[in-house]
Amino acid sequence: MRRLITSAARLYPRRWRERYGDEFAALLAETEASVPVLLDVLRGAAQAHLEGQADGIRMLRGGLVSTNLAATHATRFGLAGLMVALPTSLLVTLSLLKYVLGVPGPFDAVEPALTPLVTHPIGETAVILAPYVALLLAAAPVTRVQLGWHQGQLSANVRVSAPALNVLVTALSAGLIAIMIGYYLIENF
Amino acid sequence: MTPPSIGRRGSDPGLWLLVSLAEGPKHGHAMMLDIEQLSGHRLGPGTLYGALQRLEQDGLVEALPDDQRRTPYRLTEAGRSHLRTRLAELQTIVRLGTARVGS
Repeated sequence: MRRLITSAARLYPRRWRERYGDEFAALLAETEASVPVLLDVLRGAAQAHLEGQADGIRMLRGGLVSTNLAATHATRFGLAGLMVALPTSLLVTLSLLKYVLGVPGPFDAVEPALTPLVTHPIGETAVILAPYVALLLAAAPVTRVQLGWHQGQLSANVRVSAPALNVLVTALSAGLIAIMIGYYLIENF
Repeated sequence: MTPPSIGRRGSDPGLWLLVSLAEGPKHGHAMMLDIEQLSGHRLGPGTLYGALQRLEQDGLVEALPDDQRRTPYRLTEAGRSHLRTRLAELQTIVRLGTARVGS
Protein backbone atom coordinates (compact mmCIF):
# COMPACT_ATOMS: atom_id res chain seq x y z
CA MET A 1 0.00 0.00 0.00
CA ARG A 2 2.81 2.41 0.86
CA ARG A 3 4.41 1.79 -2.52
CA LEU A 4 1.09 2.58 -4.21
CA ILE A 5 0.80 5.83 -2.25
CA THR A 6 4.37 6.78 -3.19
CA SER A 7 3.54 6.07 -6.84
CA ALA A 8 0.35 8.14 -6.58
CA ALA A 9 2.43 11.07 -5.29
CA ARG A 10 4.39 10.96 -8.56
CA LEU A 11 1.16 11.83 -10.37
CA TYR A 12 1.32 15.41 -9.08
CA PRO A 13 2.39 17.98 -11.71
CA ARG A 14 6.16 18.38 -12.10
CA ARG A 15 6.14 21.97 -10.85
CA TRP A 16 4.19 20.96 -7.79
CA ARG A 17 6.65 18.14 -7.06
CA GLU A 18 9.60 20.50 -7.47
CA ARG A 19 8.12 22.80 -4.85
CA TYR A 20 6.47 20.38 -2.40
CA GLY A 21 7.73 16.91 -3.42
CA ASP A 22 10.34 16.38 -0.68
CA GLU A 23 8.24 17.62 2.21
CA PHE A 24 5.18 15.78 0.89
CA ALA A 25 7.23 12.56 0.74
CA ALA A 26 8.33 13.21 4.34
CA LEU A 27 4.70 13.63 5.38
CA LEU A 28 3.67 10.43 3.57
CA ALA A 29 6.47 8.55 5.33
CA GLU A 30 5.01 9.64 8.70
CA THR A 31 1.41 8.86 7.70
CA GLU A 32 -0.13 5.44 8.19
CA ALA A 33 -0.63 3.85 4.75
CA SER A 34 -4.27 3.08 4.02
CA VAL A 35 -6.78 3.08 1.18
CA PRO A 36 -8.35 6.43 2.27
CA VAL A 37 -4.86 7.99 2.26
CA LEU A 38 -4.22 6.58 -1.24
CA LEU A 39 -7.54 7.99 -2.48
CA ASP A 40 -6.80 11.34 -0.84
CA VAL A 41 -3.39 11.55 -2.55
CA LEU A 42 -4.95 10.63 -5.91
CA ARG A 43 -7.62 13.29 -5.46
CA GLY A 44 -4.95 15.82 -4.43
CA ALA A 45 -2.92 15.02 -7.57
CA ALA A 46 -5.99 15.42 -9.80
CA GLN A 47 -6.84 18.71 -8.10
CA ALA A 48 -3.27 19.99 -8.48
CA HIS A 49 -3.49 19.32 -12.22
CA LEU A 50 -6.76 21.21 -12.45
CA GLU A 51 -5.54 24.20 -10.46
CA GLY A 52 -3.05 26.90 -11.35
CA GLN A 53 -1.44 26.59 -14.77
CA ALA A 54 -2.13 22.90 -15.14
CA ASP A 55 -3.50 21.55 -18.40
CA GLY A 56 -7.04 20.34 -18.65
CA ILE A 57 -10.59 21.35 -18.21
CA ARG A 58 -11.76 22.98 -15.03
CA MET A 59 -15.32 22.74 -13.87
CA LEU A 60 -16.24 25.74 -11.80
CA ARG A 61 -19.33 26.61 -9.81
CA GLY A 62 -22.41 27.78 -11.69
CA GLY A 63 -21.83 25.54 -14.69
CA LEU A 64 -18.78 27.48 -15.81
CA VAL A 65 -16.35 25.51 -17.95
CA SER A 66 -12.86 26.83 -18.45
CA THR A 67 -10.28 25.34 -20.80
CA ASN A 68 -6.60 26.10 -20.51
CA LEU A 69 -5.07 23.52 -22.78
CA ALA A 70 -1.37 22.89 -22.46
CA ALA A 71 -0.62 26.55 -21.75
CA THR A 72 2.63 25.65 -20.03
CA HIS A 73 3.90 23.80 -23.13
CA ALA A 74 2.70 26.32 -25.72
CA THR A 75 6.05 26.65 -27.50
CA ARG A 76 6.42 22.88 -27.85
CA PHE A 77 2.96 22.69 -29.36
CA GLY A 78 3.86 25.58 -31.68
CA LEU A 79 6.99 23.72 -32.79
CA ALA A 80 4.95 20.55 -33.42
CA GLY A 81 2.51 22.65 -35.47
CA LEU A 82 5.38 24.04 -37.52
CA MET A 83 6.65 20.50 -38.25
CA VAL A 84 3.17 19.40 -39.32
CA ALA A 85 2.63 22.45 -41.56
CA LEU A 86 6.10 22.38 -43.15
CA PRO A 87 5.51 19.80 -45.98
CA THR A 88 2.29 21.52 -47.09
CA SER A 89 3.99 24.94 -46.86
CA LEU A 90 6.78 23.69 -49.08
CA LEU A 91 4.35 22.24 -51.60
CA VAL A 92 2.20 25.39 -51.72
CA THR A 93 5.25 27.67 -51.98
CA LEU A 94 6.72 25.68 -54.88
CA SER A 95 3.31 25.58 -56.61
CA LEU A 96 2.91 29.35 -56.25
CA LEU A 97 6.43 29.86 -57.64
CA LYS A 98 5.64 27.75 -60.68
CA TYR A 99 2.03 28.61 -61.46
CA VAL A 100 1.74 32.21 -60.21
CA LEU A 101 5.24 33.65 -60.50
CA GLY A 102 6.41 31.55 -63.45
CA VAL A 103 9.45 30.02 -61.73
CA PRO A 104 9.06 26.29 -62.47
CA GLY A 105 12.59 25.12 -61.54
CA PRO A 106 12.18 24.24 -57.84
CA PHE A 107 8.77 22.60 -58.37
CA ASP A 108 9.96 20.54 -61.32
CA ALA A 109 13.02 19.42 -59.37
CA VAL A 110 10.97 17.84 -56.58
CA GLU A 111 7.91 16.81 -58.60
CA PRO A 112 9.07 13.23 -59.37
CA ALA A 113 9.46 12.57 -55.65
CA LEU A 114 6.28 14.41 -54.62
CA THR A 115 3.84 13.08 -57.21
CA PRO A 116 3.47 9.53 -55.80
CA LEU A 117 2.98 11.00 -52.33
CA VAL A 118 0.37 13.66 -53.09
CA THR A 119 -1.60 11.50 -55.52
CA HIS A 120 -2.00 8.72 -52.96
CA PRO A 121 -5.32 9.18 -51.07
CA ILE A 122 -3.61 9.12 -47.64
CA GLY A 123 -0.84 11.50 -48.72
CA GLU A 124 -3.33 13.88 -50.32
CA THR A 125 -5.53 13.89 -47.21
CA ALA A 126 -2.50 14.48 -44.98
CA VAL A 127 -1.35 17.44 -47.09
CA ILE A 128 -4.84 19.00 -47.01
CA LEU A 129 -5.45 18.40 -43.29
CA ALA A 130 -1.95 19.39 -42.12
CA PRO A 131 -2.62 23.18 -41.92
CA TYR A 132 -5.78 22.59 -39.87
CA VAL A 133 -3.89 20.31 -37.46
CA ALA A 134 -1.02 22.83 -37.27
CA LEU A 135 -3.47 25.65 -36.57
CA LEU A 136 -5.03 23.64 -33.76
CA LEU A 137 -1.63 22.73 -32.28
CA ALA A 138 -0.38 26.34 -32.36
CA ALA A 139 -3.54 28.18 -31.32
CA ALA A 140 -5.43 25.90 -28.93
CA PRO A 141 -2.79 25.79 -26.15
CA VAL A 142 -2.55 29.58 -26.00
CA THR A 143 -6.29 30.21 -26.11
CA ARG A 144 -8.26 30.25 -22.90
CA VAL A 145 -12.00 29.96 -23.37
CA GLN A 146 -14.47 30.45 -20.55
CA LEU A 147 -18.10 29.63 -21.06
CA GLY A 148 -20.63 30.58 -18.44
CA TRP A 149 -24.34 30.11 -17.96
CA HIS A 150 -25.91 32.63 -15.65
CA GLN A 151 -29.59 33.56 -15.30
CA GLY A 152 -30.49 31.99 -18.63
CA GLN A 153 -27.75 33.74 -20.59
CA LEU A 154 -24.66 32.25 -22.17
CA SER A 155 -21.44 34.22 -21.82
CA ALA A 156 -18.12 33.52 -23.53
CA ASN A 157 -14.75 34.97 -22.69
CA VAL A 158 -11.79 34.25 -24.99
CA ARG A 159 -8.25 35.20 -24.00
CA VAL A 160 -5.11 34.58 -26.09
CA SER A 161 -1.60 34.76 -24.71
CA ALA A 162 0.78 33.43 -27.37
CA PRO A 163 4.57 33.16 -27.82
CA ALA A 164 5.90 34.52 -31.15
CA LEU A 165 6.36 31.00 -32.57
CA ASN A 166 2.70 30.16 -32.02
CA VAL A 167 1.62 33.44 -33.65
CA LEU A 168 3.85 32.66 -36.64
CA VAL A 169 2.57 29.08 -37.04
CA THR A 170 -1.04 30.22 -36.61
CA ALA A 171 -0.58 32.87 -39.33
CA LEU A 172 1.22 30.38 -41.60
CA SER A 173 -1.49 27.76 -41.16
CA ALA A 174 -4.29 30.28 -41.71
CA GLY A 175 -2.52 31.52 -44.85
CA LEU A 176 -2.18 27.97 -46.19
CA ILE A 177 -5.84 27.25 -45.49
CA ALA A 178 -6.87 30.48 -47.26
CA ILE A 179 -4.70 29.66 -50.31
CA MET A 180 -6.02 26.10 -50.51
CA ILE A 181 -9.66 27.21 -50.19
CA GLY A 182 -9.05 29.95 -52.78
CA TYR A 183 -7.46 27.43 -55.16
CA TYR A 184 -10.37 25.01 -54.67
CA LEU A 185 -12.93 27.75 -55.40
CA ILE A 186 -11.10 28.94 -58.50
CA GLU A 187 -10.75 25.39 -59.83
CA ASN A 188 -14.36 24.35 -59.17
CA PHE A 189 -16.50 27.47 -59.70
CA MET B 1 -21.51 15.80 19.98
CA THR B 2 -20.42 14.78 16.48
CA PRO B 3 -17.07 16.36 15.54
CA PRO B 4 -17.18 18.74 12.56
CA SER B 5 -16.19 17.04 9.31
CA ILE B 6 -13.46 18.49 7.10
CA GLY B 7 -13.36 18.51 3.35
CA ARG B 8 -15.66 19.03 0.42
CA ARG B 9 -18.89 18.86 2.39
CA GLY B 10 -17.48 19.80 5.76
CA SER B 11 -15.59 22.80 7.01
CA ASP B 12 -12.76 24.42 5.08
CA PRO B 13 -9.42 22.57 5.54
CA GLY B 14 -7.61 25.88 4.92
CA LEU B 15 -9.34 27.42 7.92
CA TRP B 16 -8.27 24.53 10.13
CA LEU B 17 -4.69 24.97 8.90
CA LEU B 18 -4.78 28.66 9.79
CA VAL B 19 -6.17 27.83 13.24
CA SER B 20 -3.44 25.25 13.74
CA LEU B 21 -0.66 27.61 12.65
CA ALA B 22 -2.05 30.43 14.81
CA GLU B 23 -0.47 28.56 17.73
CA GLY B 24 2.97 28.64 16.11
CA PRO B 25 4.98 27.21 13.18
CA LYS B 26 4.39 23.55 12.35
CA HIS B 27 5.34 21.09 9.62
CA GLY B 28 2.81 18.97 7.73
CA HIS B 29 2.62 16.02 10.10
CA ALA B 30 2.38 18.25 13.18
CA MET B 31 -0.48 20.17 11.51
CA MET B 32 -2.22 16.90 10.71
CA LEU B 33 -2.01 15.69 14.32
CA ASP B 34 -3.01 19.08 15.73
CA ILE B 35 -6.07 19.34 13.49
CA GLU B 36 -7.05 15.79 14.35
CA GLN B 37 -6.89 16.70 18.02
CA LEU B 38 -8.87 19.92 17.49
CA SER B 39 -11.53 18.61 15.13
CA GLY B 40 -11.64 14.87 15.71
CA HIS B 41 -10.91 14.26 12.01
CA ARG B 42 -7.63 13.54 10.30
CA LEU B 43 -6.88 15.51 7.15
CA GLY B 44 -5.51 13.37 4.32
CA PRO B 45 -2.02 14.36 3.09
CA GLY B 46 -3.40 15.39 -0.32
CA THR B 47 -6.11 17.55 1.22
CA LEU B 48 -3.62 19.10 3.64
CA TYR B 49 -1.06 20.01 0.99
CA GLY B 50 -3.75 21.19 -1.46
CA ALA B 51 -4.99 23.64 1.17
CA LEU B 52 -1.45 24.57 2.21
CA GLN B 53 -0.50 25.36 -1.39
CA ARG B 54 -3.51 27.67 -1.80
CA LEU B 55 -2.76 29.44 1.48
CA GLU B 56 0.87 29.93 0.46
CA GLN B 57 -0.13 31.26 -2.98
CA ASP B 58 -2.50 33.70 -1.26
CA GLY B 59 0.32 34.86 1.02
CA LEU B 60 -1.48 33.69 4.17
CA VAL B 61 1.25 31.25 5.25
CA GLU B 62 4.96 31.04 4.50
CA ALA B 63 7.55 28.28 4.58
CA LEU B 64 10.44 28.41 7.03
CA PRO B 65 13.86 26.81 6.40
CA ASP B 66 13.71 23.01 6.18
CA ASP B 67 13.98 20.94 9.33
CA GLN B 68 15.56 17.85 7.72
CA ARG B 69 13.03 17.12 4.92
CA ARG B 70 10.09 18.52 6.86
CA THR B 71 9.28 22.12 6.03
CA PRO B 72 7.65 24.12 8.81
CA TYR B 73 5.11 26.80 7.95
CA ARG B 74 3.95 29.85 9.83
CA LEU B 75 1.15 32.37 9.56
CA THR B 76 1.98 35.64 7.86
CA GLU B 77 0.51 38.90 9.14
CA ALA B 78 -1.98 38.73 6.27
CA GLY B 79 -2.85 35.19 7.33
CA ARG B 80 -3.45 36.22 10.94
CA SER B 81 -5.63 39.12 9.80
CA HIS B 82 -7.53 36.84 7.41
CA LEU B 83 -8.12 34.31 10.18
CA ARG B 84 -9.49 37.02 12.50
CA THR B 85 -11.89 38.16 9.77
CA ARG B 86 -13.06 34.60 9.01
CA LEU B 87 -13.59 33.83 12.71
CA ALA B 88 -15.59 37.04 13.15
CA GLU B 89 -17.74 36.06 10.15
CA LEU B 90 -18.29 32.62 11.60
CA GLN B 91 -19.24 34.09 14.97
CA THR B 92 -21.83 36.26 13.23
CA ILE B 93 -23.18 33.24 11.33
CA VAL B 94 -23.35 31.19 14.55
CA ARG B 95 -25.11 34.01 16.41
CA LEU B 96 -27.66 34.73 13.68
CA GLY B 97 -28.15 31.10 12.75
CA THR B 98 -28.63 29.99 16.34
CA ALA B 99 -31.15 32.77 16.94
CA ARG B 100 -33.19 31.67 13.93
CA VAL B 101 -32.99 27.93 14.25
CA GLY B 102 -33.39 27.89 18.03
CA SER B 103 -31.00 26.18 20.40
